[in-house]
Amino acid sequence: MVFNTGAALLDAIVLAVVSGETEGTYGYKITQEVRQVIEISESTLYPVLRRLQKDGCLEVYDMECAGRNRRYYKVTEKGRAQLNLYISEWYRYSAKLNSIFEGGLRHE
Amino acid sequence: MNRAEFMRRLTELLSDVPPAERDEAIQYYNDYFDDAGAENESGVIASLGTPEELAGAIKAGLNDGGAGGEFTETGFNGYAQTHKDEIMKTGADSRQNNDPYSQRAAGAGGSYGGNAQAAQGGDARPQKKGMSGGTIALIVIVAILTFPIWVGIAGALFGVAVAILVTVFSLFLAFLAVGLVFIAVSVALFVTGCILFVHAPLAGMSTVGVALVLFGLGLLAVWLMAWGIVKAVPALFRGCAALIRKIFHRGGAMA
Repeated sequence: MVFNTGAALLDAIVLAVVSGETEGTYGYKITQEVRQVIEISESTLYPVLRRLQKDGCLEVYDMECAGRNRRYYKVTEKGRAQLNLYISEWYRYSAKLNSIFEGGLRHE
Repeated sequence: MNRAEFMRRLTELLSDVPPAERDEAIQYYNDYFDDAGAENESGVIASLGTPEELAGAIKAGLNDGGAGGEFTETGFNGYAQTHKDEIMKTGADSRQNNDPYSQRAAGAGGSYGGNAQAAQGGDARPQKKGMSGGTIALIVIVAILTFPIWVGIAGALFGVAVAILVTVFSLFLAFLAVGLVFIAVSVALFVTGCILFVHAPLAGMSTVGVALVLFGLGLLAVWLMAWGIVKAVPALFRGCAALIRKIFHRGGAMA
């Protein structure tokens, strides 16, 4: 990928992926979904999930699945507020970039 | 290396992290292998990297925020954590103000000026958190360079304090001695007065009167000193102790 994904953007992507599942989702599935949009090593996501959990943006719960306990992640109220902030900020940011790019094209 | 070996090595490598964190990480990766399925086991191991790398990423994540750094798609980067923290803090604000971004955008017209202000505000905040390493080093250097000066000042202050204490103590002793002498003299005068009374009643009576006055003064002096020693000296020591504590606390705050 040409562009870096910074910590804030990665947080935003993870929050968005997790918030897509109202009942919560689990680490492997989150990783696969994030990997569909950005190139990310499989070892990167655990620290991000753990930090978001410590920050109170995500909560975890264990649910029985196929004879074993699976850990599920769910977005909290704080996480939802944080995600909304990231999204509105992203729209502002990308709109500015777009105007620059389009303006640049016009001058050519 | 198969899954069991991988997880055993990872557990070993995480032996120095808090047990709660270790269990959390081990559970996560056990879940991960389970969810990936046995058929993807080797693929998962390949993409997770070596257990050493994975343990490094987990440990770096534990220090995240404290040491500064962030996780990006390329893994852990040594990058100031403050930017993300700012957004987190602004996020906390937003729940109180409803939407600072709309306010800010309205105020600045969404211009680049508004953006620059926001960025400045963001930069200014972390500096308030504490002194930088450079400032602390500067203070230490200044303290070492001015060593002769402040040792001299401290010595002088100590000398003055001791002198004051000794003077006060001497005054106490002197008053006490004067009081005791007054009492002794008054007793002698009283006896003399009584003897004189037989021959010259007027002179005897006045001598006894002087003796009683002296006795009273002596008692007063001794009583004052006794009171002073009981009340004033402990108060004085308390005052000194409080003063010293104040000085040391201020020194502690500066360092």
